[in-house]
Amino acid sequence: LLRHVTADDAGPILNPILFDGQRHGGIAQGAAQALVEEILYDADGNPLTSSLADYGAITAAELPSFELVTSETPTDLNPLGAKGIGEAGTIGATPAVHNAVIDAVSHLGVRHIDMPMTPERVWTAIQEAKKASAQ
Amino acid sequence: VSKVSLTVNGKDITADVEDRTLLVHFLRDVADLTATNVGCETTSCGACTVLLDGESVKSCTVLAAQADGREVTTLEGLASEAGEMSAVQKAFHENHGLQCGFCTPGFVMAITSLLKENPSPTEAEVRTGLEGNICRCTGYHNIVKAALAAASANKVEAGQ
Repeated sequence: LLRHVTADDAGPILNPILFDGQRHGGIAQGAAQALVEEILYDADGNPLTSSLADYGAITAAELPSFELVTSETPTDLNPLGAKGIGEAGTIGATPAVHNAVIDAVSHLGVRHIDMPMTPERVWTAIQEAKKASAQ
Repeated sequence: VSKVSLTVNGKDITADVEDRTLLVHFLRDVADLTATNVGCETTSCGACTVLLDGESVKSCTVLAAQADGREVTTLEGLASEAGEMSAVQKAFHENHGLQCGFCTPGFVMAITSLLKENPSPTEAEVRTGLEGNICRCTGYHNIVKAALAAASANKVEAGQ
């Protein structure tokens, strides 16, 4: 992931530092869902991702610094004008990262890859698209 | 049971501990220094990072006996005696490098060690260097910012 831009409008901002922090954390979680994180079970229902040695938690090395765009439009639905920002970044980050990966390989004929889009799944999708186009 | 003697934050501590005692449990339960957190206990998350003879280690996978006769620095040992925070601690404070705070002691120690090895890292070098520490709140954004700010502050202090 090279660049991620997020725009939020949560109404009036009381604490800009915490406001940005919620967005940073949310973006990381959303991108992680698209790229690496998954809880797996075997056919008998035994958990396969039972420790951090098995579960692909996202780290600083897989993420860029985030670019944030902010606007403040109060809602008239409550007296504070607030809409909330808690972990808001997750909502947009997952489809944005997913779309970016599909866009990068769509010229090879790939239309869809299940999340998380691990290198293995992306490679498999490319191979299958190649096979389909050869037929 | 073995007798283990460590220097922790400049103070000598000797205790009889079970052979299986991990360094992190020695620090928390014997030395009574609870800044160092126990996270995954599998060397994956970095919450227990401390300095052993100046180098960062994950204290959940070091036996207290392995640290016998050696020097350990924990988060509690970073500030000066007068209470002045280290450059990395100050940078975390100024850049809001934390949210829930559980991973913070580990990140501060890992960055302290990283900057000793590489005093002026690029952002990419900071990110790779912190691969062994997991944070679930901040998206790493402000942690990386704090590490780079601490590197700059160190340079200013050194008059470079």
